[in-house]
Amino acid sequence: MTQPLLTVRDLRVEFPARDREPIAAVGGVGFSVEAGEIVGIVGESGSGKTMTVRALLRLLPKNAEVSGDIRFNGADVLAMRPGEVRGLRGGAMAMVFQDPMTSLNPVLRVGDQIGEAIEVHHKTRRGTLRQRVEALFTRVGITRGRERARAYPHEFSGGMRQRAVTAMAVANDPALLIADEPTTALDVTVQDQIIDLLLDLNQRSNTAILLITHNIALVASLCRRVLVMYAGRIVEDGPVEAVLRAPQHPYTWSLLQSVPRLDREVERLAAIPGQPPDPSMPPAGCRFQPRCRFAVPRCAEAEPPLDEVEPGHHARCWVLMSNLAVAAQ
Amino acid sequence: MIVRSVLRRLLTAAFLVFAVVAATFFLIHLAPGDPADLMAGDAPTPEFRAEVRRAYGLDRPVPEQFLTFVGKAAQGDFGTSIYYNKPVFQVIWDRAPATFLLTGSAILLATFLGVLLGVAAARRAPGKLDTLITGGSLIGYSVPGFWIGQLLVLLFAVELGWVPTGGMISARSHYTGFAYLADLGRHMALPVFTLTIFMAAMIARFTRAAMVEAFDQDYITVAEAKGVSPGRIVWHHAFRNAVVTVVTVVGLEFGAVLAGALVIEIIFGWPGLGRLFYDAIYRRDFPLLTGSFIFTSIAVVIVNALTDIACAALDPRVRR
Amino acid sequence: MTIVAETAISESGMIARPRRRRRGSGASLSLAVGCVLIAFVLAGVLLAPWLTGAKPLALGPDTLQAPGWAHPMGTDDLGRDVYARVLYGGRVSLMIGVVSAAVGVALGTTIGLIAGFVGGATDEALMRFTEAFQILPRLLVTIVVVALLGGGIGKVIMVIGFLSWPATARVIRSRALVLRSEEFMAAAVLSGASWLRRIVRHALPNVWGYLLVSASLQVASAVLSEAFLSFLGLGDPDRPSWGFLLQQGQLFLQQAWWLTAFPGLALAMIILGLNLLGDGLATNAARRGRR
Repeated sequence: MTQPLLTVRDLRVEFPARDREPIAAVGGVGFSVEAGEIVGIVGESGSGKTMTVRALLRLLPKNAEVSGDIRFNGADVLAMRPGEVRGLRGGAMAMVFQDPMTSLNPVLRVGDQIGEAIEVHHKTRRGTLRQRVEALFTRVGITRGRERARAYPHEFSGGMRQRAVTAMAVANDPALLIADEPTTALDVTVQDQIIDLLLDLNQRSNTAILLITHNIALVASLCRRVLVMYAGRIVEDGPVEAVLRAPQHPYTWSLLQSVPRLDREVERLAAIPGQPPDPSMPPAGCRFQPRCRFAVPRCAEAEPPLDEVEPGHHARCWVLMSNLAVAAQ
Repeated sequence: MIVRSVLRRLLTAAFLVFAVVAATFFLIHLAPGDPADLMAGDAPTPEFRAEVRRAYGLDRPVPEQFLTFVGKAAQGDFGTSIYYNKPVFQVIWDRAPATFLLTGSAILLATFLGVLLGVAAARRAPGKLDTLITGGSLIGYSVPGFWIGQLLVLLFAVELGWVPTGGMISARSHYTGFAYLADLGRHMALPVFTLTIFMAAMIARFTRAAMVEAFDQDYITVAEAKGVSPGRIVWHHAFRNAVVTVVTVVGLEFGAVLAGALVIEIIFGWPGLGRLFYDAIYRRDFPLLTGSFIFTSIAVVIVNALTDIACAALDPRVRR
Repeated sequence: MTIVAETAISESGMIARPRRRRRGSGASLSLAVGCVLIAFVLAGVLLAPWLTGAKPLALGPDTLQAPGWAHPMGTDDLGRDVYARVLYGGRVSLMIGVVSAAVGVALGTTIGLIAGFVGGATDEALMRFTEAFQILPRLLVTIVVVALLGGGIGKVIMVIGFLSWPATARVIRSRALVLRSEEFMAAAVLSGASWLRRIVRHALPNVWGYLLVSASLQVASAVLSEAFLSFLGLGDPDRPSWGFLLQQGQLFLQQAWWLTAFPGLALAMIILGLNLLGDGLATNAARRGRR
């Protein structure tokens, strides 16, 4: 078996705080991504999912303390020198950010910004660069590439900007593309187009995708595996069918309960009561326990480990849904 | 699109110039005493005063006077200087280059220094260097420039003797070529430096603010994620957004710079428009005074229009 | 100086802007140092009669004496005690500064509130007018007007004050625009409160912070303007301000450095103090508004 493309072990991201313990935004996350695989990361805001993926490219704020092990293509990312990190970024590993409206520099032409992504990694002649930019425009589905390249971001619609940003990210054929909520800020119709684009990239270029989203349906349709994060930890991970059809962690189960469905009668959308914990004052034991319907005394005493529930499927819970006599509701 | 906005700005500028001329006219007429006296100088003979009346049409109804005034102003005729006994315009024109040299050098130097300091402070914000530069620029634009000028003269000219105490070139020498330039340079050093401080401080402050704001934006993180080097991020990405602020500051503070130049020319005995202005006040040479005022105001209006146009050129979003 | 007010306020984040990084303790330091400087100068100026027996206009036999026991800041060419002239001169400088700033702030606030709350065409017109006004070289205009109309403290105050409203107007207007869309204003409208009442009872308390910041910076600017005017000889010799003293100093620059050093130092301290205060207030108020 070949090595996974990306392996993350015990990743921690902490921020020093005055007169107290450092605040952990990410506390011991581990996962892997195979070449060409699409993996989803699901969680509420504040769950640490953005911090996790930013750590992969070492894009965290200056005062963040990162520890753990990140291996990409065998190389130790956290040990890289600044020059090597810059070579990695936008090269073999690239990222598409959430808000397309603010992701492009308003005073530079779109074509130049995309060209920059190429130029930074390969010295290219101007003519060749222009051609490659045009090719990228076509690849992401922007028509009339030649004139659009000379345009400024404010002349592009939201969907076009997201395509442009995606073009920047795939300019150098990355092995891994990280997409942080790529559709959240877009209209529904445009969302579909972007999704198709990502799928296309995956299928044609074998680009692995790490997709962050809170849209479960998206996960269901695109991803092979999914990680569920809560309060800076992975609480469940596994193949998409297994996790979505038979979630083991109460949090995952609650998330799925709150998804509106067309195929069933639902009297009321079940929201999960309560708030995610304040990272500076984490609860004792399981992080989800204060909001968990199925908590038992043990949950407040010790934090459960991420155990294998079935092959490839892990959950961090003392109780586990399969142990409960809960009829499918 | 661009042409239309340029035209609009030029129109506003023209309107402002007109407003300045009109305001000056009304000021002259509001001043206590007979305008003819103002124009004719102290203790004129009755015949001369009558002549002045006729020449300026002061015996005509006010609206007609106004039109004459504006008409003459449009042709560059601001009357005759009482003291120099030459057309005001010519007197101004002779002295203007000295002031341009002083002000121009100061603005260039201030922009260069201010930008470098502002960017440096923003890059290391928050931190010791940032605090130092921010504090320094605060002091730079708070402490009165002319006082700093005086102190510098005391230190460098009187005490240390490194530079002359005043003037533009050594009076009785006949330098040519490089020697001339060196002499000019030695005379220029303190006045230009003093004038630079205020503006550099302002520019540094605003550059820093604009850069900090730019660094906060998403597109900077995106650029980092592309693997762009830090230097290029600072200048090609962030500064390109902040430069509009710099240009705006230069435009807005130009008036203050000219006022500063006025005072500095007095302190350093620099033979420019500032000195002219000051002397005109004391000699009660009102034609010269009003003429210089209109001239300087026009310069300010033009500079503002230019910076406005530059801002539009630099920010593609503004162009519509 | 005019745009310093706007920037101090927008830099501090008082005008709502997303994702502003919070500044550290710099604001409290600014505030503290500013207050100390201002207090120091104010103390000297207000307590003048108790701090010196000499009179600022009293001629004396010892001319151009360097600072020493009898005259801590030396004497000028007519034997007048510089220490006394600096202390009493401060009264003139500060009085002119404060009153002119008050005029400017009052005018600016009125115009700003009107522009912000009435909006529409009035706002447009007022803003164009303000922009045009700001372009004019304020100090030069002041100099010409005072030169033509004659000096005198009253006139100087009016001229400086009348020309300084744009900065305050713009700041107050932007705050008014924000306020206008706030809920409590809508509530006031619904409750049938009159236009004037809305402004006085609801708007003013909320622009107070901005007013203070602007006022602080305007006083600094006004003091500087007055110094310029006096330096150019347009001040009143019977009520010599610091600027006037600096003009004297210029005449005897090479012989008597003390004539320049001390008045200038006083000026520097008060202007610096006021700017620090303004900056500190702006950042502080923004922080409070954030909670």
